[in-house]
Amino acid sequence: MLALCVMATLALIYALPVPYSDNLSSIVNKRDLLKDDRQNRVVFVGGSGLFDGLDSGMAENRLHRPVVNMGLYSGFAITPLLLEVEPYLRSGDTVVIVPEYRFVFDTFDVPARKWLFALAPARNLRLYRDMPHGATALLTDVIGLLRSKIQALPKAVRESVRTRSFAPLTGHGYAYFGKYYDRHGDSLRTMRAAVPGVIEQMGLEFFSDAAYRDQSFAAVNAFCLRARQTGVKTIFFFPAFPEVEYLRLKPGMQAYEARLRRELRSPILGTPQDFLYPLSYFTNTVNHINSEARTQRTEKLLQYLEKAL
Amino acid sequence: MLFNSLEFFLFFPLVTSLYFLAPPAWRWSLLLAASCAFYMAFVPMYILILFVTIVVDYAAGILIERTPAVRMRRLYLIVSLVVTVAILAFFKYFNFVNDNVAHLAKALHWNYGIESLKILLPIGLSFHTFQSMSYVIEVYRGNQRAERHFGIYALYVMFYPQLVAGPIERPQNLLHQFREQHTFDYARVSGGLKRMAFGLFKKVVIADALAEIVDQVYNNLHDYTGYPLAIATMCFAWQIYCDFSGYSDIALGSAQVMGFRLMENFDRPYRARSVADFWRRWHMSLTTWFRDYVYIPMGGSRVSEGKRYANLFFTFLISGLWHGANWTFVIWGALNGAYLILSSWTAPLRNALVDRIGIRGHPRVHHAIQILMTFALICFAWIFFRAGSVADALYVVTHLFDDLLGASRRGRFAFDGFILVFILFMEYVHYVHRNGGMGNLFADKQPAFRWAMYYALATITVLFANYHQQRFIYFQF
Repeated sequence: MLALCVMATLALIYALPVPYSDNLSSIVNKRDLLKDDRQNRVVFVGGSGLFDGLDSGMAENRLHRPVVNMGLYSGFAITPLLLEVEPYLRSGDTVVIVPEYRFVFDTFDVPARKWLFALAPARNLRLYRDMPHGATALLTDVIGLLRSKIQALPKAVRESVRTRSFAPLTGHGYAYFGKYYDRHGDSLRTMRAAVPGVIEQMGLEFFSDAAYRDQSFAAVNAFCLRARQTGVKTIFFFPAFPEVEYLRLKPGMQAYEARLRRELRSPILGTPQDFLYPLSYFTNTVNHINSEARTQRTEKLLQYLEKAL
Repeated sequence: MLFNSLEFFLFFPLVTSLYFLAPPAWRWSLLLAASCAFYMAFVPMYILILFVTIVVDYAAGILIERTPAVRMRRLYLIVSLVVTVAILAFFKYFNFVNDNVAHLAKALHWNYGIESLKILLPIGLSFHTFQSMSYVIEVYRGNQRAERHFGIYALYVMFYPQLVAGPIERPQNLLHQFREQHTFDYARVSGGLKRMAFGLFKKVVIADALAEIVDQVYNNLHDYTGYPLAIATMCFAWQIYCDFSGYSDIALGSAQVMGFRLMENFDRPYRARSVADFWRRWHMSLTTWFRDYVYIPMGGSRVSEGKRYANLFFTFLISGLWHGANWTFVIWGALNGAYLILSSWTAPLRNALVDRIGIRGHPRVHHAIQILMTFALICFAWIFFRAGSVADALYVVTHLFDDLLGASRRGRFAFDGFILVFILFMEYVHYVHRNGGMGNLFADKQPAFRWAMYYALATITVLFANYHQQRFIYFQF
């Protein structure tokens, strides 16, 4: 009887249209930005390098097209994000793929997994079927989602009382999406360096064969092919990266670029060198740029996109 | 296997079911086999070490009892204690001593060529060796008959609910229970299960959540100054309490299910009004062990004041060392010993101050101040317990009030307010059962209230548990 009551409580929490406390749940809100009637959209797909590293407003003004920034967290990887975005694309849209070097064509990580499930539970059950101890992982992820809902409740209740409205208690995705993101999906907050002058580096190990993930490569190419067939353009760009780090990892970087140019079924605009910046332009990791670099990087992207679109 | 693991979730009901189904004469062998399997789930080979201590102490007990000559009895006792302590010392302290001798030799420009060994500390070694030593000493003192049945004695040392992290039992309490016939009693069994559930809640909901905060700060100390250090230290105080008392609840609960009564290990230690009171409430099985087998044999309180203080200090020093082979534990023990000595010295002064302020007329305020002061002193000592090195501990101490509001802190710091709610819930449960009754939570309450509490406990545990299996802190001792 006790077990039934607990299970019923969990089911009720799951069913409640209450938002989440975790920032990664913003992926739900970002995906919702695609559920509209706007034509000829430009959809940026990437990780946290786009999160606060893209000025979508500038891009929209220059390209005269609606811009959506799907960038949030590299842990979502590229293939799963493209698959989530795909059902909402229509002819005339352009998908701009800008993955960080660290997670290039890698698979999703554990923190991202439950949010992929939250995006599309029925479709993403397959993620658990293919992994060892999938049932346990599914259970912990579902409980993680429920926990995130409960953790959002105190602030949501306070906000509800303050605004005398039920709105903060309802909705889905991130409870504070409207507060911390603009209408394009750009973050209104910039990453801060945890320790000034110390930036989390990337190791050489990511360039091992395992990082290339043949399966993911094939999946991205398949996406690009399907996109082309439905009138959706795809464009690939290299991410922003510190110049000194690029030089340190140059052999691996060059091999990665060569493979992309050889195998990727999507136009690649620009070169890695187009998006190399001084270390001082980065905040807390080699993927996160400050506002000055964001403007320069967006400008460079637009130079190519204006010609391509 | 850990108490908060899937393996134990399967192991426990299986062993318990077989225990009640088996004929009473076979039960000791079933439990012994289960305890062996439980222990070997960690590092199988180390059961041989356990076997050596069991054989030595079993034989010593019988020889001591059989021998009328005092000198021979003492010899058997000494041999038994030396062998047991030597095993503990080798596995736990060899590298610590070796490293310190090497440093000293280097400072004196002497050659010293003994390398440290790659030794893995057998799990539970500190606990079961003390339990074995307690048996031999009690037989020597005439307080306990020597156990003639090797299997029963082995079970006394290896009884799986308390094998790896206590409580450190006394033979007078535990040994005879293995000969009792335990029947299935619904109230006792359900009470035991509830206690296990409560222990699990403390461990996987509170302790493991606090561990994330503590580790974030203590593993990156130099990124923090000011209040994050203070909060992380207080979080550690609650983490170690919930971790260890949670383990103890699971141990006592699982033993209770089968009909065994183990000694209580905690009595709301953060309600203590003095450091001495704290040590009467914290890890009581170890504290009483040191009292009975170290402090009192050295003379205890029946000696001069100076000698008494020396005995006290030495006892806590040894207690600190028992916890781990690191100077931080020694300093932690010494600090607690110093607290007790200073407390005794300054008692007249403090009493005079209390009388002068007039706070004795307001007992609640007085008690609250005492509790807070004691908590602050204990937390300060916990800094040394948690820090990885003396240098790290000193960093915390010297930066605790440095830029108190942490404006210059570089590390990120996030505290989930729900943990406070859960700690309050836990303390409420302890308060309700302050006069006993942990063996059947809320048994004397109305059914609606009782089931509401069980529902809250179950739902919170499912929703907020850390499913990534953090080890119990005291397993490392």
